[in-house]
Amino acid sequence: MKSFLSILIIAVFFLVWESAARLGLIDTQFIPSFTTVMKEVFSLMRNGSLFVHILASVGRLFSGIVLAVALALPLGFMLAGWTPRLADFLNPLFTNLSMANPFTLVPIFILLLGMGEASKIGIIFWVVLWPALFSTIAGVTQIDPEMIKAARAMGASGTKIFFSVILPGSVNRIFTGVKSSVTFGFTVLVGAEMIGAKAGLDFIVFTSNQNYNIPRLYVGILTIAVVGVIVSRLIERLQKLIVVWEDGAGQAA
Amino acid sequence: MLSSAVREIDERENGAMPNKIEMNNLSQVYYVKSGESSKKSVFYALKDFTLSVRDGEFVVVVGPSGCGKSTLLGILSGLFKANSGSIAIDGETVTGPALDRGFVMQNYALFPWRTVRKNVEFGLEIKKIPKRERLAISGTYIDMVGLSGFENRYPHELSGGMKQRVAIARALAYDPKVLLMDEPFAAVDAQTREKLQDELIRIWKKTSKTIIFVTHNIDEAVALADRVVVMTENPGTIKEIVPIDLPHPRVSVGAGVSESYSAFVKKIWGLLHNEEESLESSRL
Repeated sequence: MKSFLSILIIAVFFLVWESAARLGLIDTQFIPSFTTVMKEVFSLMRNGSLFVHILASVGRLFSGIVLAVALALPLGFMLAGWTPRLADFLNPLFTNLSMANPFTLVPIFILLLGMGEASKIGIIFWVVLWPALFSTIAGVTQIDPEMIKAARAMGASGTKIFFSVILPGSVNRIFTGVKSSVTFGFTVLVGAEMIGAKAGLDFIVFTSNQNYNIPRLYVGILTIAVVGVIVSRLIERLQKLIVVWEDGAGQAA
Repeated sequence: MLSSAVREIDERENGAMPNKIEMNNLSQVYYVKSGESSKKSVFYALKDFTLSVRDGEFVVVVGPSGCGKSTLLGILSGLFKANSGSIAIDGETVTGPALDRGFVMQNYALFPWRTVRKNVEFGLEIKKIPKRERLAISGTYIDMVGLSGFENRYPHELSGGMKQRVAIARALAYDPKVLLMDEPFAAVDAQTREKLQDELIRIWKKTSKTIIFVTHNIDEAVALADRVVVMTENPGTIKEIVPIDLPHPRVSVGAGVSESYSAFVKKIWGLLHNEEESLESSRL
């Protein structure tokens, strides 16, 4: 029912947009009608270039996420597990680093990593790394110590405790941290693609703007929105697939 | 003088039976900040705690909160090491946690990502028991605690009483010699508590485990114990051991409790109350 309503509201939005364009309420030179934009979408789909751009952006996004998570998880587990006090001390630093506006860091990344793929993946890596790191630490430190006590009382080894208590006990928190940073990372990526990209979703927006191809500009805007939603939904799905034991409130029993 | 009296009682009770657990002069000291002054004072959670428990005996430890009864269980489980003294189970000195003791905690401490069955099988996995056998064993104990049909539920789908049944099944599944229970029924409502007490007695008789049960509830102590160990606070020592020689079931729904049952409750209450009074006067 709720999802039906959401779809209805989106449909109404497109309908209003289309009608406004047709009735001449908006200047179609700057805001072309919805159907004009959709025509452009189909033409870009036919020649395959839309998919090339989507793939380029999503590929960068996932490379960045995978690298960030691959570093953040082991580092977070080590910090929280072996040196919880050090993790405590480092927490303000992590928070500050994650607060640094990634858009302002784009020039620095380009300076350090060049104009190519590396700097774009690097930006995503940066944006995802810190939240992933401190959600891992938070995930580990918030595990009910009674559970670890119970496992230890049964003579569980360190490895058993890690794989059977710490890892499943923190995975939900880690997912939540990564999920929010990925949505943000996608936004930042689009900004990074304005500079020196040969493909990518924002490349569409940027080049269309320069060529005054206004309908195509809107294709870029719409596609970014849709792909962003799909990516965050996919991560949500994955979380639900893995974290099957949580009740709605995320309460641990 | 007190410990010699304890030993006397023990010998009289034991006869020729070998003791399952021997606790010898256990002491555990904490240094705590007291009041306004920054000077730390010594807090004896346990002091020269000596107790022998027979095989298959049900011992309940009662005392005011902070009297060291949870510390005692922590040391028995092997999670903590006492400052001094020793524990032996079947003549073997306890050096750390092991599967010869099962631990049931007040807040269940179930693993929320594991189903009832997988929770019960946790200790069996540590014991490296093959999957097929695990399945059979967990089935037996889930059935024993009356949770057949709930094998594949997750803890958040269960009530407090059911969770504690799972915790009991988990502690029994790997067949420990001794069951340690730390206020296991404190978090459930009165009705559920009575039911769980009945079930525990039934399970105890069926499995003939040795049980050390900690509570601050006097009624619960009298309802369950072969012997009630009444503790004092700071220093945490044994004030008196009260043998309860009443047949089970001691509480029946219709008839309530017998006169001798009430007498035991009153006696233990008196011992604890006296304790509180003396504490108050010492604080003045």
